[in-house]
Amino acid sequence: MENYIEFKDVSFAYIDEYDSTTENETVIDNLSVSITKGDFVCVLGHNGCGKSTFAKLCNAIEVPLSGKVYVDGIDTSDDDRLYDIRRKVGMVFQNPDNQIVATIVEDDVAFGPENLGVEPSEIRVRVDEALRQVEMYDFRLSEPHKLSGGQKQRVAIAGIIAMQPECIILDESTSMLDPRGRREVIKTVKKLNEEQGITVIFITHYMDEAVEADRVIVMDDGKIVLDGTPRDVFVHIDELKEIGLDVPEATELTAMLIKEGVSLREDILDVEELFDSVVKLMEEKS
Amino acid sequence: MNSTLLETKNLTYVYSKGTSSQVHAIRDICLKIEKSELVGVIGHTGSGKSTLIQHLNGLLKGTSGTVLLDGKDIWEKKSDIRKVRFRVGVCFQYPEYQLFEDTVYKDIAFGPTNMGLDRDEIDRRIREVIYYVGLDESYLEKSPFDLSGGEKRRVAIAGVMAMQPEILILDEPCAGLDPKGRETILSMIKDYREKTGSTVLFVSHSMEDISKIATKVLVMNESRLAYYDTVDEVFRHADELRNMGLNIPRLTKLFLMLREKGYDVNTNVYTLEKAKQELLALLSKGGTDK
Amino acid sequence: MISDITIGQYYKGNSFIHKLDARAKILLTVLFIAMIFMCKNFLSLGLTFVFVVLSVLLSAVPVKMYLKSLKPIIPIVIFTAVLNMLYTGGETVLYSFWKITLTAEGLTTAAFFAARIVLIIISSSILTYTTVPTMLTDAIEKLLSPLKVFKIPVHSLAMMMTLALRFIPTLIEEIGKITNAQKARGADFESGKLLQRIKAIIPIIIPLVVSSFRRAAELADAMNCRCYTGGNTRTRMKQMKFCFKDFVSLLVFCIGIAGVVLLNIKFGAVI
Repeated sequence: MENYIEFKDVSFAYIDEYDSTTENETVIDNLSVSITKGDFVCVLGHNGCGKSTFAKLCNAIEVPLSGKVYVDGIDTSDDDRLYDIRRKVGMVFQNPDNQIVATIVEDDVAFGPENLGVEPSEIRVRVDEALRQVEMYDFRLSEPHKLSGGQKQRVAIAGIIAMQPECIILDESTSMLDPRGRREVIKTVKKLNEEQGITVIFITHYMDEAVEADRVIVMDDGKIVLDGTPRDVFVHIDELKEIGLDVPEATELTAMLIKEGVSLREDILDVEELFDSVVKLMEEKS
Repeated sequence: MNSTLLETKNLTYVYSKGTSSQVHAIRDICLKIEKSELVGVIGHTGSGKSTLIQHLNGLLKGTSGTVLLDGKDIWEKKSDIRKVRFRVGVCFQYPEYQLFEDTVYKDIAFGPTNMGLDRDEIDRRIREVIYYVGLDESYLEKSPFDLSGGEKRRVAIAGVMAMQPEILILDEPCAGLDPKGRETILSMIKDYREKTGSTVLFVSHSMEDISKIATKVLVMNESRLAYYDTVDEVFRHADELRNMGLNIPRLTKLFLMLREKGYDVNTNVYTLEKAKQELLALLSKGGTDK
Repeated sequence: MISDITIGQYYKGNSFIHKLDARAKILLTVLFIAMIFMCKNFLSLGLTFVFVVLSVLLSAVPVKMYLKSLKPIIPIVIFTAVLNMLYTGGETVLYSFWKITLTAEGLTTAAFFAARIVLIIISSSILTYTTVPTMLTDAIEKLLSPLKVFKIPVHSLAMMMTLALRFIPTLIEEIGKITNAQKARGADFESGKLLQRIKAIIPIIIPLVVSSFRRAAELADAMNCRCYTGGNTRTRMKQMKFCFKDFVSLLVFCIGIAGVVLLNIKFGAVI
């Protein structure tokens, strides 16, 4: 499979411009990883583990202090290609209020394509299409501040789609939403990933959002500590707890039962799977 | 039975009353909250839970109905409404955005100072509450703006605790925090209530969090009070909750599914340990019975 | 209340005025205000009033909305009217009591001032109710573009206006939240002397400023991510077309101004 984003020995630290005497704390520590085109990748980690910086390195908001990041083969430290990269890799942020620039939904969605200098008639087509994809077309003339959090985030996603990106990064975009808003956002990006083949990098600290991803990357202290399918990753219950993350209850309960001698497969992810396994065991016994 | 501390009688609040766009934010709420309960509050955004909270400390006044604190109408004397706010302490969502002083000490002192307490008492309280929220005295001289997100939030909560309210109400105290941060806040709430014996209400979207620490659950739905009962009793209404678009704790769901399938299990299961015991019991029984 | 402010609010619609070019509407508003100030007698004021009423009707925005926009300024209108009434000298004394003298001239001046303020608010409300704010700022940018010759950053100014309009409701909401939070900690905004009251708003202002800086930083990142580079190569989804109806509207207003001038000359000035 094609590598879309590639990190090669990347290190990064925020440099305090006013105080050169203090040690700069390393946020990303010699990280090498590649993201496959078309994947739905979930990046998990507690606050301050470097996952937001990881996101910012993916679309040249930050550039590595050492090492290289390539997006579709383009070096992110190449200033001339900055806007090529940002067009290809769109980003949705945490606070829905602080990324909407216009006072009318459709004008906000048009902001990106307008910046790219797209023809007006083409922008109109893209904006309508993008709003339909996130199911916000009926709200195209609404004022953003009257929408719910989930709706605002979907408008933000539409604003990115209208730039026709190949990859979307959601940097904790669900953390300020209620359960309904979170479901709306996840459903929307899942659909974009499946139907349009857009690569999705979904950054979160909710483990239940990671269960459906193709791949889960767990970060701690600027390093990758676990990387694999959700089933591969969540069986590492002790490691995950050690770095302050949750494990699906079903997975943990399964592990506890296995310890007591019950014969279950260990990579159970949700209560439905556990229910099926328990029912099967009961039927075998009778 | 504990004695009632806070009571609402037919409390109703209508937005833009008398116009075509009038909306009932809360409707006919009758509620009795007893002393020392730890109440988990659930409900959708827009279900009326935030409006209800603002009535309990007199930030809003009901269009009709009353709020009684210790049997007395909080609006009996309008000029005393600030005193009610010291007795019913409310900490809103994302409280870290209300910090404004240059030191943690001064910020926590804001509430007690408004109460008109003397300096020694304020000092004593600050040094007490900073431990309640899992921090220590080394934080007091720091600037609140230099702290991490989770620490800022705890300082803000300490600012409300320092008023020593009889009821502490926290609106989504865990919102936006990572698992460790959520865990810290939850155990902090539990400890605070055990140490001080005060009544605590906390709003959460996580049924797991509520089932783990609450003694009672309050459910708001479409501006009405849907349930106010013990954790077991409320989560027994799985179907009704689902119809309101709310969940039940995932572990409880597992046992409800098993019960539906015809297995004899308890469904009031909220912790992993209890779940393990129940399943082991079921599996051993299953082997022998049939 | 602060939340009643309706400046910059758009009222969805498809009326004749909604469809006019935003630049034409800005020019029309300017003409309107000129017309209002040129009125010197009740007849010309009446003519202007007819223009306002017709524009309001053509905008298809409910009259209720216009009344809402007038609500916050009613105290100002009454205050200036009363001042005018009492302090304009004149010969025709209508009523006298103690030190207060009411003259016909005073009443006329008061009525004119009140009418002018009300008409100005209504005419500018027509503009903001019928024009999408982005179009409004785009139009201002276009109308001011000759100033680029003098190295005035017209695009940046217009962008700042757009963002200000976008964030006003957000900040109003935030002020409400912070105020509630501080009230819950016993803050008292309602009593005390002036100095105390000013001190009392510090716990609101500081969090507001802190959060505005945070918002600004995040917004800058978000705009960067959406390839914002300033005005040079930007296109616009909504194109502005100056067409026949815009010319006609401007013409009608010019005739209106001419009418006002004629009426002023013919029937003399009362103010």
